[in-house]
Amino acid sequence: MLALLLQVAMDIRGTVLGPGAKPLAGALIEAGEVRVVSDAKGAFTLPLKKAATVRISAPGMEAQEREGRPGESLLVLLEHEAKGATVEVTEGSGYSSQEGTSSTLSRLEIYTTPGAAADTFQAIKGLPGVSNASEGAELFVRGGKPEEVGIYLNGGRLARPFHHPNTQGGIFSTVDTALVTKVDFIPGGFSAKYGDALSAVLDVSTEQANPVKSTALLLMLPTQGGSLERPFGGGLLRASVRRSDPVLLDKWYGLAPNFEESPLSTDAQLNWQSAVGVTGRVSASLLGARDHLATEVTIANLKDTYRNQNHSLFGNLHATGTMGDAFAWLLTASHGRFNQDWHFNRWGIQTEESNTFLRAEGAWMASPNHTLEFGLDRDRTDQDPRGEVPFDLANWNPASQARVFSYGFSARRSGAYATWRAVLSRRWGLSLGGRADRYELQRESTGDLRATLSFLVKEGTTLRFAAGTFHQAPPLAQLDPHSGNPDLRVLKATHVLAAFDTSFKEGDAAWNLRAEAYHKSYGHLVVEDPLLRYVSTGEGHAQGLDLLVKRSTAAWRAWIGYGYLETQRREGKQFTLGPVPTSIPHNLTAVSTHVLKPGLELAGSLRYATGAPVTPILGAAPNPGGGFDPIEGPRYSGRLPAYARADLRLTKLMNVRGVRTVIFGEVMNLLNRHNVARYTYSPDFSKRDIEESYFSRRILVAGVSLAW
Amino acid sequence: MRHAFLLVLPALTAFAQDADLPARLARIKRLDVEGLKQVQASLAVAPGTPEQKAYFEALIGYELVAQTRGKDPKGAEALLDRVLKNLEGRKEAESMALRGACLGLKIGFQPMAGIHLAPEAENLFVDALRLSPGNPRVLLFRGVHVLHTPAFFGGGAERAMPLIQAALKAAEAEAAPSDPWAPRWGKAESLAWLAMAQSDAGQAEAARKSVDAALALDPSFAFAKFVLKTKVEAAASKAVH
Repeated sequence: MLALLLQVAMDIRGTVLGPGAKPLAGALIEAGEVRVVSDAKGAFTLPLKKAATVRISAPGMEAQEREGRPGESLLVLLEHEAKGATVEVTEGSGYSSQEGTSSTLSRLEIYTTPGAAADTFQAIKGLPGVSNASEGAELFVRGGKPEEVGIYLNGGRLARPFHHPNTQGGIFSTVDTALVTKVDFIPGGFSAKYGDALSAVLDVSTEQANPVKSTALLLMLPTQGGSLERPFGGGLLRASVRRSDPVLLDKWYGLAPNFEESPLSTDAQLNWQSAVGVTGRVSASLLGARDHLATEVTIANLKDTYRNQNHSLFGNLHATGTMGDAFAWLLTASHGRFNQDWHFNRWGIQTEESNTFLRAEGAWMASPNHTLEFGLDRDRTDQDPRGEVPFDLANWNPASQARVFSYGFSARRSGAYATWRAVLSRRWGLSLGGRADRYELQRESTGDLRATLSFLVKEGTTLRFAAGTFHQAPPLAQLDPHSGNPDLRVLKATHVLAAFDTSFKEGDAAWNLRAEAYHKSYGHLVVEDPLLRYVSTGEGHAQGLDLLVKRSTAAWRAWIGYGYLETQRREGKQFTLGPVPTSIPHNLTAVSTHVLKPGLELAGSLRYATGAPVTPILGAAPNPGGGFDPIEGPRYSGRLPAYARADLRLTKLMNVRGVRTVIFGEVMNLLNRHNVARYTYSPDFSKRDIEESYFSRRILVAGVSLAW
Repeated sequence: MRHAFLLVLPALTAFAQDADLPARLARIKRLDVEGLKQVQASLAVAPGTPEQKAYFEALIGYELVAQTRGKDPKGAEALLDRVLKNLEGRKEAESMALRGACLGLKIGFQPMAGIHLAPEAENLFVDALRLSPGNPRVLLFRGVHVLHTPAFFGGGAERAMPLIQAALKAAEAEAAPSDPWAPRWGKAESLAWLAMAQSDAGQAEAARKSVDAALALDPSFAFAKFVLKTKVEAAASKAVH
């Protein structure tokens, strides 16, 4: 008997209780290889002689892990498995940098993706559905053009977000990632709150909910900068300044032999935010950027230096607050100014552009399951171009007849929108929205309906179906009453998409799989016209499939984004429904980051895209001016070679006397692949040459960032 | 006979542990996850009405969420939703303050929801203090809430310290309740959170004294022993260098 008591005393024993503290029979109790089942009174005995982690589980109950010690009794209360998360009601199927369950592209990934140069826009190019075919930061989304993406900074509309906008699509954005706290990128089916955008929305925030007094310095080629965050004036001041001068890189690597002055850029950003009461907040942002370059180019029959200077200034005021427990309000006012000045021999244009955007929004939380968001927005763009260009754009001889101009015009839009978000059941959610806009220059009113139905398959797995219509004014240059056609119709698109998104854990690995199929149709696209310059008779469609696979463990993070696209448009110089420069069927980005040891990471990335369509030149015919006119083949029937680039980055993170230090070295274009940006031709079009993309050499860059 | 003894033994052991249940309930906020699960099970089998147990079940849930949210955010949030539902509509000061603290945790899971949850939490603290002026636990929950609120939103260590100091004074002055189901915690917890606030405010030496005082009251205070002590010593060491 004593032996038996000793035996019992040395086992791990316990009782399993279920809901209502009633004994739970049939619960599985495991410790390593040892498994027993609780009896009718919930009791169990594990024949173990040493302490062990014991797992107690039962069907429909939440499992527990407890520390069992021989001789001690475990009393375990199992509760019903949590019902799990309720469906998240949202619009479209976007990507967010917000840390947490919805994070697709984390802030760390923006910073450490090789080849993305810590630029938010460049990092977004790695997502499926965004074309990799150019090295610029502009976003070609699902066959759309960059101007079809609505870009917002702290709620204000940022019309000019790029440095060097005229060079291969703006090399980098003017928004310093050091200040960015959240990025939402929605490539289709976006909310009714976003008007005047045809393809996608990029919403960037620099509002800081968790302020930390900090200072950071970045020293690398070609960018140097600093940022700080400090309490100031009863609120929080965040500031950054950056300068980028690739002259050394250009010299060392011969990146741009035709540049006479390197593309120099600077930007500065200020953001002040303060609480007002318990829930109110106000923020003010200022973003200034300037850049210039000089490069030798040939335009028609003149080879000379092209000089370009851009200045932009963007200011934004943003306030939010609540009234009672159920009503929240938001006010945004932003104003941007952009000056561009280019010269080419005696020719040149100076353009002043200003954009004003206002938004007033309310959100009424009628119940935990029903929210109504509604608002008004208005924007106005003024443009004042002046300068002189050749009367005949085929003859840029400085002695030729000039067309001198100086005028101004403006375009205004007013809109109203509402979105009702309803959790219909734990699994089903519906977002139903609509907006109406009045475009004053075109004297046209538009209406849109947008809906997204979400179904929670199981916790972490969601199906979404979205459909809606979207409108956007044509680019201002095409509406210009002197060089365009102010009577153009408002562009229209219809999006239909189905998205599958699942996140789960397998061992210590977190997985995220996404697949999204979409179809878009376009109307009123702008086609060039010999009489009216532009007409709204264009149309088009885009359809495709975006896939994302992401796996993260403590030692290895990797993701692959692939997008298949089929798109045709009748637009611009494409007079029949056919391929356009954005018809790039295959886009692939793969990124892999390995933690070699704590504080040391090796990351590699691979980007691939089908080459962009080009119009083949079949020959040339002499023209009366003594030059040659090209004989073109079918529009966009040829293609540039495929674009491919591999980058490798080694990052060392350490803490030196309280200074968080990051040292990195990066090999851009590891395989030294000479990607083609475009074809150029000899004056008689008898010889074709290639103009390589900016990063078409293997380049080694290194840098250090210090933060304290 | 032998089998009957074996069947009864675990239950006997469980009820034997219940003898000190009130003392263990007073230590809920000082327990680690293992200890919380033990006391949760003990509470479930203890005699008492659901009404009497509700506060402690919620308090255990709150602590479990606070301690497991990093490791298992989804599970923690689901548990938090259950706790919030159980506290819904309860009108006594202790439960209202606990619900306010739970809403603070909820904001951590859903920062954007803070726009309506923050005022709801603040209202709960205000109402709870109106119902029970000088209640140390209400003051402490409010102080912790303010401590975790970014300075930008009117929170931070400097603003939290007076509230936590008031909670400490109130806890020291509070008489032991006659009702065994009445909450009776607050002093060691106030000292620990005061240490946290002092450490965040750069008062390393004061923080060290506060955490030592908390551990003197309860040497097995898990949060003070494993989290605070390390943090405070690191801060003190940094200050010396």
